[in-house]
Amino acid sequence: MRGTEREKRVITITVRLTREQHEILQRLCRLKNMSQTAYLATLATEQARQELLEYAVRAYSEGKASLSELATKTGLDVPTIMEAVTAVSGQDARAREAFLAAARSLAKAHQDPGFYALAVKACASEQ
Amino acid sequence: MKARYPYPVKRKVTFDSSFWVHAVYLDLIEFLLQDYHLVCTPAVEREMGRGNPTGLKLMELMANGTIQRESARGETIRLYGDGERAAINLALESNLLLLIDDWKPSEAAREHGVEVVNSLIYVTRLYAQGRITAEMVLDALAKMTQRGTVKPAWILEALKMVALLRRNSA
Repeated sequence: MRGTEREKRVITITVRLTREQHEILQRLCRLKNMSQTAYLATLATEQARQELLEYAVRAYSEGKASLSELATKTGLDVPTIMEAVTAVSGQDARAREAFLAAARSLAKAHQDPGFYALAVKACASEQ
Repeated sequence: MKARYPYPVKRKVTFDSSFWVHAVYLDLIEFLLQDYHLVCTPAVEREMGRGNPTGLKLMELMANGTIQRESARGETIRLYGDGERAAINLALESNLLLLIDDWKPSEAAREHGVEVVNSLIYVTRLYAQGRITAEMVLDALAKMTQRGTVKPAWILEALKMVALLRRNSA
């Protein structure tokens, strides 16, 4: 089957709901002016994609898998996984502190205060 | 008499997705194209996707023939993801330098005898060659620190090298 034909093919999944669950779904879809099928399809896809991304970020951060391996497993592209890793690790100040501490030690060891000044400037421009 | 070439013959190299993303982010593509003849495997191309700037940059350079598509005939290494496996196997089979920023597959490649270079070593080399300033190389290292997508020990090693190069050039 060619790529475009495969992409257009629709898969049917049956979802069993209690009367109460269905009522909630119906109310929301009425308010959103959306069919229940469209709502469930969008919700499930977005949620699954988000969870795949979270899984990839966690597995990469814990050193359990490489980026390429995670791209193969999750079907996400590598840049998307890397951006998500950066969004999480960018909030961690420890990496920046370690970088500056190393630059300070090297500047002292080599009697090159300008080196530390450049490292501080580089870090400041990244914030 | 030996002929003298104004520029050395470019070495053929391949790369994995992690290196390419960092190379675009650090603005290294022009330098890479000056230094190497780049080839990319279809698996790495697929892993880059089409909906992001790094993937689009690769697509553009492959479409105009600046970067060529190449695959390994066999599969010596069977571990890891599609892209890194393809890149390692191509490097191994064709004796290419492998540009790679992901630590695990980089180690696997090295253990199989592949010559590997990461973006931090590459950017430090540009500084050693006087093609970028100390400010630029430290800026790149700070950026990579902030990203958290390379092994911190590699950043530290690059930082040490830059400090040493600065001392030696003083």
